[in-house]
Amino acid sequence: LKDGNFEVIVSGQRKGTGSSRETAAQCERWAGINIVIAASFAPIHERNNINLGQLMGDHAMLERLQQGEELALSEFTGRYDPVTQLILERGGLFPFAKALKSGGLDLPPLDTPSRPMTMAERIISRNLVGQPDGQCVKPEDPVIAQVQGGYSHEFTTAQVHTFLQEEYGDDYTLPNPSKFAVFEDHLLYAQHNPKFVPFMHKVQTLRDLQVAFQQHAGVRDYSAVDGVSPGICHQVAREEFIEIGDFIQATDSHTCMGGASNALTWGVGATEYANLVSAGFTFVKVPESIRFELVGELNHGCTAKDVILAILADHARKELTLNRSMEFGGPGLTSLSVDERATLCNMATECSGRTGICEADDALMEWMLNSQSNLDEAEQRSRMVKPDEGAHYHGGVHTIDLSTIVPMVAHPGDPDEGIPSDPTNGANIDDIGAVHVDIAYGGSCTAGKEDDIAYYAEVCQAAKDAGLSVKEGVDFYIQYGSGQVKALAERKGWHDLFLEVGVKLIDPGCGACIGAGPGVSITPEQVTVSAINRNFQGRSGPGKLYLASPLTVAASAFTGIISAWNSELFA
Amino acid sequence: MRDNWPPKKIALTPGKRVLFLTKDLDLIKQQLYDGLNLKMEDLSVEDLLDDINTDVMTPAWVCFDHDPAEIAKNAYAGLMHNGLRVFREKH
Repeated sequence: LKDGNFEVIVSGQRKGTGSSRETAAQCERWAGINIVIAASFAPIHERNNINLGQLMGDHAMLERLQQGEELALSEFTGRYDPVTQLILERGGLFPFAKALKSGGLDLPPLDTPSRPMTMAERIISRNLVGQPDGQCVKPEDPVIAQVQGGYSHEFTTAQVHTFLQEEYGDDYTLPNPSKFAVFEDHLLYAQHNPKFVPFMHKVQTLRDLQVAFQQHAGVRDYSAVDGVSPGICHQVAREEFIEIGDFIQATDSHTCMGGASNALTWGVGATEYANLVSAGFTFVKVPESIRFELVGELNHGCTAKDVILAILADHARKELTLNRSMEFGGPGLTSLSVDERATLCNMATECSGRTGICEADDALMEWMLNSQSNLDEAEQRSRMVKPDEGAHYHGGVHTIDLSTIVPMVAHPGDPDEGIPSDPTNGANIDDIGAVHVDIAYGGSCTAGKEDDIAYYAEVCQAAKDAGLSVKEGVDFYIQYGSGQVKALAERKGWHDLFLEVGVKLIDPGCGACIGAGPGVSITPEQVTVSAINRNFQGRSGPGKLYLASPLTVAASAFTGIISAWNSELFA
Repeated sequence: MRDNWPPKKIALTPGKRVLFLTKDLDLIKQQLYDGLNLKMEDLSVEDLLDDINTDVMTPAWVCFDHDPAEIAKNAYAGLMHNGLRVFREKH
């Protein structure tokens, strides 16, 4: 592309669908393309182009350009909100932020009147830059907001470092590195995937550049030590530095897991992250919200994973959660542990939601103080966010009675027949018949937390008491979400219990969830029951993958078929 | 990074080219390798590729690169014709 001396690239409908990867927009930008023409653009790809300063237009505009006409810049920018127009006029997010920081740019005032706000709106409102104190926001408002912290991992940090060097020189500095971090968690076991083996030298380069960034910028260091990761970024971040009421952004789609701490958290691309880590603020288009009012209590054998699988099969399938902040509250939420709330928030991204956020309560306060002993309780309580009475939810308010939830899976579909393998393929376990499994996997950010490990231990103890081991022909893997989780398992005796009943234990990291670690399927015929968050075809090997709760995964490992857990199962 | 971008008035730069990603992949090859230059007025939107996904633009393995030059080098590495890359690998 670069050798062709092109400055315009032209295609038809829906340019840039699929994965949100920023490299797609970058490859054109860095090959010399300045103008992208298409009939329409996928929203995330369009935003990536805006951040890079790429102008987007339609075919009629191109025809005029090719006839020698000069077009006003406003023809390319006029359809966007006032802040996005400024970003494009400045040539992208970096030059925009530089101008804003130096005082060379005035933000357009917001005219949103005082109004009741959702939790997401409240947190954005109190972080506004360039607006008067107390300014309210509403969905679609384009604003600049401060962020309190964030993190990147070895898949993304190298780009962040490179961008900052290019923009600010080799001696760039970060204003507040103590609330930002790097994690070595995604590619620790990458060599287990044959497809990744040819690229291991590049993986090493990514690791080396992450170390260089950490040492240069002074951000928190969660590098692997002797080949062992401190844990998965989302889990460790909530254990160690996400505070109540924070606005956190990180370079991964499951950043939303931090919402369990009554914080606003979501994933961004490398350009946005590099900009916010250096500027301290970022561009936000205020998202709409949808509220889930939880009542009742879960029956034994059911978990938060079953709740979110039910939401995926219902509300997400109807696109009610699409790009919205999923707000969880109500008396039922209080009956769920903080780790279980993290499962709900984590899988907001599978719901195609913007994020997930839970109301705060005493249980959260206790969990926060246990996790981060340096926190001041009064200060944390003062940061708690609640929705205002009368707040408007564009996605509606949906009451879920937890006592009606039953053990579920998301089935792998039948891609060859046009039924995609998707987390929204919900089915009650009672309705799927006898599904034999070859692999049971418990781990990932979604299901490697302390309470998830406790679920695996509950089933393994019952199996041991019944004289059972993992079913012959089944591989049962448990991968801890963090070093803290592993330490708890060792203290409680669960680590030894797992080994006694035949579980294969893996140190903390992302692993099989991203197709990079023990527990991936090897052949298309293999069936996996897994507590991870996604069952997209090929993501965790070529086999068929059923998503399920930690209890279901563990129970199935001993029966050899997908089984809902109850305390009589092994009797 | 680009200097002075964008100008207030947008025009095509003399000597620079426009690449049309057409459903007829041979036409793309002719633009890339044989110097063919097309005009929008000679095409319709229906002639152009729809739903170009980000995997086509940068397959997953390109994400192991961080260097802009390397990422640019592999632009559209996922666009295949008869099992071969339309945008050929540069050695």
